[in-house]
Amino acid sequence: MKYVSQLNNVFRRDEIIFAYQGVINELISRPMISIIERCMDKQDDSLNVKRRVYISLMLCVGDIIDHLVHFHSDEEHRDKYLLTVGLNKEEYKISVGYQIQNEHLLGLRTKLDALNHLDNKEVRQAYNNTKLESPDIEVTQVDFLYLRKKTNRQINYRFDPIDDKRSYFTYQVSIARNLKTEVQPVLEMVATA
Amino acid sequence: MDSIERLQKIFADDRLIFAHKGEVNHQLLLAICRLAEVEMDLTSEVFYMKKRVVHLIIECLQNIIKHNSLPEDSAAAAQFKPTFMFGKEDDRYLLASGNTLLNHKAHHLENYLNYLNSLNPYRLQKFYKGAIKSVVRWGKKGRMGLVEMAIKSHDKIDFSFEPIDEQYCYFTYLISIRRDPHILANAENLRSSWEAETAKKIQEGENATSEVPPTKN
Repeated sequence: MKYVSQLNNVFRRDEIIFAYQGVINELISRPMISIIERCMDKQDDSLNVKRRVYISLMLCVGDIIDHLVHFHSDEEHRDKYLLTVGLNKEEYKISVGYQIQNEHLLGLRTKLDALNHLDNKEVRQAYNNTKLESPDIEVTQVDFLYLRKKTNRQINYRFDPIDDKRSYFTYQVSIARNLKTEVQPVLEMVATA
Repeated sequence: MDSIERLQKIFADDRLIFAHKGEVNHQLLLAICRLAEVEMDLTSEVFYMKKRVVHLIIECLQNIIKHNSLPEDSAAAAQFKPTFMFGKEDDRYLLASGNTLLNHKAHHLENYLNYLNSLNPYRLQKFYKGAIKSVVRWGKKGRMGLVEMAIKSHDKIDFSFEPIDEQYCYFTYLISIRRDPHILANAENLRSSWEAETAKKIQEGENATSEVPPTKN
């Protein structure tokens, strides 16, 4: 019971509405996304906000599945995936956590830092360039860039070392519930350009 | 980012699979059941156990739908939303559920749960049959879910009441559903023999229909 009350407290304090730990594959992702969709149905947010949350969620799940297929075929670490969705008055928060090998750490850090240094206009430009250079590229291949574009916000991340070979990689994206305040500067930037 | 760190610590012992916080409706109930079902499919859980777990999940969620009583516009409503958790230990599934409750109801419920926990399986079954009779005879409804939970889980219901204000409290309970190997083996034997029998009957039926001469127009 202590365990349950601890979890209850975390849920209350951090305004989390859904959390899942385990293997995330195509089979699991459908009911999981359906639960989060039902949660969003009850909110009075605009369709645009819901669409952004939905797309961001799909990208996060896609990233996990992609990671599971390519890197974690070994049984030992298959169930260490964590996905949470939080909701407060200002924003939705989607957090993802999984283990990565330390050899990929530097590349990932550089990629995320580079993305976080771009402003919203530059992100759009980078995305358009990627699509122009290789029109056949799938969304999942440009996931972090697309995620950054969709959320209009920086991607928070951290690496917690586990041992010499592995680290626990966590990232969090947030989507504003009031898009007017977020989208207006972007529109202004586009207009002035 | 601290929130995920805190969650990680709680998740670290691998007991919890998923948790949901918020109002529950019928569609959400279906989605949660589906997620639990798929999760059990992935671990190749036996049919008997899946049926039992899903049944108890429905009971928990229906309890939330029926009995969550804090008004939506109250100050504490945002903080004390209903919660549902699904987890697994080596030999058991764990279901935890929480919802708000009126304090005067909490006192009765506490006595009732203590009484249920004091009964042995045989007396629990007798109590259940008596309760069903009273429903049939007098149309008295309610509290059947908790008896069913106690019977089906083969274990005691762990519960707590957390005070919110003078009027309301937060009721949390934890059910652990044991995977009794003997019961599971019996259930699986019964199921496989029933499947074999049904397949045999179907085969016999097909043979019988193939022997029937075509009707003349």
